Amino acid sequence: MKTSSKSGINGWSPAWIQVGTDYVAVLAWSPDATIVAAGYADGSLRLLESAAGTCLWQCEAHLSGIASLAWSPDGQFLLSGGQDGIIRRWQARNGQAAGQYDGLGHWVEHLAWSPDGCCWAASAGRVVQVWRADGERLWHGPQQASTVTGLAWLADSQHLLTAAYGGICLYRVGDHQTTLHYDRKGSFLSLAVSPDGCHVAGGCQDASMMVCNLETGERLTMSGYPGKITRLAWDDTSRYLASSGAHQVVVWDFSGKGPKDSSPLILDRHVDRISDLAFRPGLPQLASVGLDGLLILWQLPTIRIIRLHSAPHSLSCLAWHPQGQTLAVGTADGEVRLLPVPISP
Amino acid sequence: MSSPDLNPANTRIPVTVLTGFLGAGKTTLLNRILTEHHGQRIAVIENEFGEIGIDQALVIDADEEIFEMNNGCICCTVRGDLIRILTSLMRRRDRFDAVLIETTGLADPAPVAQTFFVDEEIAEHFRLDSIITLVDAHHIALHLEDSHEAREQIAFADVIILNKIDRMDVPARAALEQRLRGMNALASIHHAVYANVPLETVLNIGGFDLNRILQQSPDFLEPEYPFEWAGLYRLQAGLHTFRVQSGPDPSLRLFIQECGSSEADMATWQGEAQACFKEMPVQVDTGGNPLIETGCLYELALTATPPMYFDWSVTTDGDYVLFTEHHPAEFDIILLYGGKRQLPLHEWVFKPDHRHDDQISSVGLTAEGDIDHARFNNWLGELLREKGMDIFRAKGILSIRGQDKQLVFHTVHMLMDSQTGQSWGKASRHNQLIFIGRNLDRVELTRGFEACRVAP
Repeated sequence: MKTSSKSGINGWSPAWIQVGTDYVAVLAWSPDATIVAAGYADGSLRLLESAAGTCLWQCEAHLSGIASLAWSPDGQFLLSGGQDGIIRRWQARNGQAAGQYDGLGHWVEHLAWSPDGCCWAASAGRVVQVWRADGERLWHGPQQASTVTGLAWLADSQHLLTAAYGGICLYRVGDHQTTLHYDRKGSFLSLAVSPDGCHVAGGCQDASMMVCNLETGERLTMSGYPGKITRLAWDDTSRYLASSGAHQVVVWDFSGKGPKDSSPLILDRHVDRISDLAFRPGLPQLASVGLDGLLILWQLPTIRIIRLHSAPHSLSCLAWHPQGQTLAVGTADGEVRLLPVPISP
Repeated sequence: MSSPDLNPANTRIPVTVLTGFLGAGKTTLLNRILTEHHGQRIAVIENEFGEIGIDQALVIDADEEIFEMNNGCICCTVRGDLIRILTSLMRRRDRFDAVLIETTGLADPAPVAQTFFVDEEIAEHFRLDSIITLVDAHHIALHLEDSHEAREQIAFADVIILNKIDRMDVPARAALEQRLRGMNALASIHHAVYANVPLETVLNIGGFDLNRILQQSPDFLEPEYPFEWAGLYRLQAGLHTFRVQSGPDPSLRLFIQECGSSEADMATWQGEAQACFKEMPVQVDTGGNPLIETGCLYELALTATPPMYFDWSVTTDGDYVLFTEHHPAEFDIILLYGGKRQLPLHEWVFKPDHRHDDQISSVGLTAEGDIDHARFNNWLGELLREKGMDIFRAKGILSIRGQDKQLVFHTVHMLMDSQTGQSWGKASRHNQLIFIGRNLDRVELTRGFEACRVAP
């Protein structure tokens, strides 16, 4: 088995590159995988047709940077959250404005549709709000200890988890009290709920991570990271939890006895800070992008590098095709690059 | 927790932190910065506006979020809102020449400053250029009495702007300036009316210029003494009397030494006096036994109705030197013998140490020649680990053995940032260090620093 020539792991080239106006802050695939929406740091929004990268429509969506995007489950509408404190709703087909919602003057950093598709939640500053799909506001949550840095629904579409300074909170939409507070002194920067709903993980400024079992309440703290933990991702099967601290990806295995007293997998190939990571839908493969311009596709648990793409600019974000056939990455220079990944590499 | 960052090409964006109590004039200064044509693109982070773009600046609203760490280390406390905002700023294509952060009136400057050390990503892209403290010249004295925050804002400052100075007379200005200098000898002090200081004294001042500070305030490198005055008297044996009026303190310390041999000089007596001033004094009340012993520290109780009289029994004819805690003029002290006033043959005045304002003071050290880098890092690292909570700021320019360029560093509590500065070229190599803090021990600091020097 020796055939690694130019078409080895380094021979991963984009199907198309689309050049935008500013740092790509966020990417989001439409549910039917025909469109990649790109939000930029100057507030512009582009909808790119995924087959060839053609721009379907674009607009100056926000007065300052776009911080979040979310597709409606039926793919009819796209929500964008801006640093101008506004949430806008767009007709995906033609870019017509279809609603505007108030983020109360703060950066709208997280948007999430409920799993049943009935409503969506937005965090801006210290407050989470929930709107019904038709645009009626359902809930204005209580003030949190700091700006909300992570937001996720539970599978019942009734509860929301948030990360902020001082811990992770569980809310029942409609209530004015916290249902549960997993408190820990320190500042949480990221949040991810396992797809099976068993665990919630929060990454901290002080280079540690807390994982709580939502059923038993048991908590684990992982420390010793080389830097603050800004990104977290679970794989589809809820077996692997990937976390990024500085230039390393650290993966914890929740199968069997779980990660307690075990050593994590350390994915150490990036040479600069990691900006985003996500598991490939349906496979134990993790994609990570960094300020070093590298996109790396890792096989777990062997941590073999399957593919590696090197861009001339820092990479800022990534998003998998809903079925995992391709991967869109954004650069600090405004490019969106689409990289195909055959199912069996 | 020190993290030396030797970034030779200093491409980091300079950050100015503006502190000061409500009403000191911060908004006036900010408005000037936002509207004046200075050719720089500035991002202003403050507490009142929402985000708005103005010609050459971007104003972003910050909601003060103080983040303590799980390890409980106060020196790791940072401002989470600033981390989020700055992280977002460094992504934008329209880069900024400078960042200005306005803090609320009661803010502790430490978490703001520490943000630029503790968060690695921020430290990589931004450099804490200076902390500017704006004070209302009329009200600061009062704030210093009753506000811990006001004292910290003065202690942390690189630049102090005395605003609304026009409404203050000259002696009051001088007294205020002297008081602020006593707390923070490092800061350059500017006078202003309507915050009208030249912007180059505020924005991107390039860290700090110790030479400028030394020119402004050359005496702060001098050691400070526990006494303010000394007089040399030629006295006859017999009972002498001090007549003392009441003064600013309810007691007065006094050291009397017999001069003995003619070789002894002021340097000798001063050393003895300094040592003796650390001892427990002998308490003396009016009408008590006369002072007899020489080489001894006395404390005169000044609580009786003035004038108060204290006798001193001089045992032999000769020369005596007398050190007083305060200047004799403050208590109108007169030495009488046989009803006649005795005048000193010679007198000296000393710079007193400033033991007020929470004991916040400055200590400056200088040394010619080179410093051993490893020894210096060990010494400073240990010093900051042990006393970092009390050492608010330290700054220095060092001549490191084997290095052509200056090493310039500054610290905030336990955290340190350093970078290489200019080439020494033909200039004579020397080292300058300044500490600002509570309960600083000049003797100990000097000893520690001297041990880092390389034998010439």
